[in-house]
Amino acid sequence: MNREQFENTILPMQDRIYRYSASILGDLSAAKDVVQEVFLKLWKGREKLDEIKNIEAWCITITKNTCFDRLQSPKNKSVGLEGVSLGLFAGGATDEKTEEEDLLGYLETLVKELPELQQNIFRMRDLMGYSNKEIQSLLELTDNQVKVNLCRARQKLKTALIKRMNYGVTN
Amino acid sequence: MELPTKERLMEKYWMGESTSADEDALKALSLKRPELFSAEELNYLNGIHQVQELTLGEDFGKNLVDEFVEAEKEEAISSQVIPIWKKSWMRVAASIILLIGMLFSFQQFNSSKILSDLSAEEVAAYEETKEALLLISQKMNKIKSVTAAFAKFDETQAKIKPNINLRN
Repeated sequence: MNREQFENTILPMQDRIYRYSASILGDLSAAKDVVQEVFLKLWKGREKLDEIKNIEAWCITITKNTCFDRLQSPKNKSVGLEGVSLGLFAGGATDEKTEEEDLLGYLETLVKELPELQQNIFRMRDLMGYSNKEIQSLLELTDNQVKVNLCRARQKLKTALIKRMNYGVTN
Repeated sequence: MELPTKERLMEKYWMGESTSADEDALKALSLKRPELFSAEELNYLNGIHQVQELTLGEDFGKNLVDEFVEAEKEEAISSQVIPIWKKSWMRVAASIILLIGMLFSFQQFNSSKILSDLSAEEVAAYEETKEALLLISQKMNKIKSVTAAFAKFDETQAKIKPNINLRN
C-alpha cells in the first residue's frame, strides 16, 4: 500500500478510531495517542495491508488491543474508567477532566458491565456511527445477531439507568 | 404532545429498533426540551452525542503521515553504512589488540605441553637428552677446572718471567 492508498483507506477511519478509543479509555488525550499508535503500526506494516481481507475490522481490533494494553500498563493505571470522575453528578466537572471526559466516564461505567460482544456492538453502533449492516460485515455476524445483541445491550443500559435513578447513585 | 414522542423514541431506542432518523429526532428533542428527560437519561444521551461528535480534524492524519515519512527518512540516513573505523577507531584498535593477545596466548598455551601429555617415546627421548646434557655439563665443569689450572700456570709464569729477564 503506497502513501496515497494509505491516505484514502486508513485515514478516513481516524475519527471512528478516536471515538472508539475515547469510549474505552475515558481520556481524550490518551485516545489521541492511541490513534497515532495505531496509525504508526499500520504505516510500518503498510506493505502487507493489501493482504488483509477486512482492513476496517482489523483496525478496530488493533485499536481495542492497544487500548486494553494501555489500561493494563502500570504507567497508565491512572488513565481509564476507574480514574474518570463523574463530575456531573458529583456537582460539576473536576479540574483534571473536561466535561466531555466526565460524560465519557459516565457512559463507560455503564458500558463496561456489558458482555464483550454487546459492548463492541454498542460502541460501533451508538458511538462510532456504523449501521447495523456495516457491523454485520465487520464482525461477521448475521443481521439477527446484531439486532439481538444491540437490543440486549441497550436494555441492560436502560436497567442500569433506572437503578441509578431509583437509588440516586452518583458515581 | 412531546412527552409521548419522547417515550416512543426512547422505547424504540432501548429495544434496538430505532432508525438513524429516530435517533436524530431523540437528540434534537433532548437538546430542545431537556426537562422531559431524567438527569440519568440526559447524561446518557449527552455522553453518546459527545462521543459521536469527537473529531481530530482533517489535517491530523495527513500531518501524521508526513511525520512518519520524515521519521523514516531520518532513520534511513542514520542507518546508512559508515565505515566501521570511522565510527570508533579506538574501539576497533582495542579489539584488534585484544584479539592478537588472545591468539598469542592460545598459541603459547598449545605449544607448552606438560610431561604427562607426552608419549613414552617422547619421554624416553627427553630423559636421554637430559642425561646427555648432564654429561656435557659435567665434562664442561672438568674442562673448566683444567682451564683454571692452566690459568694459574699462566699467571705464575707471568710472575716468574720478569725475574728471569732481570737476571739476564
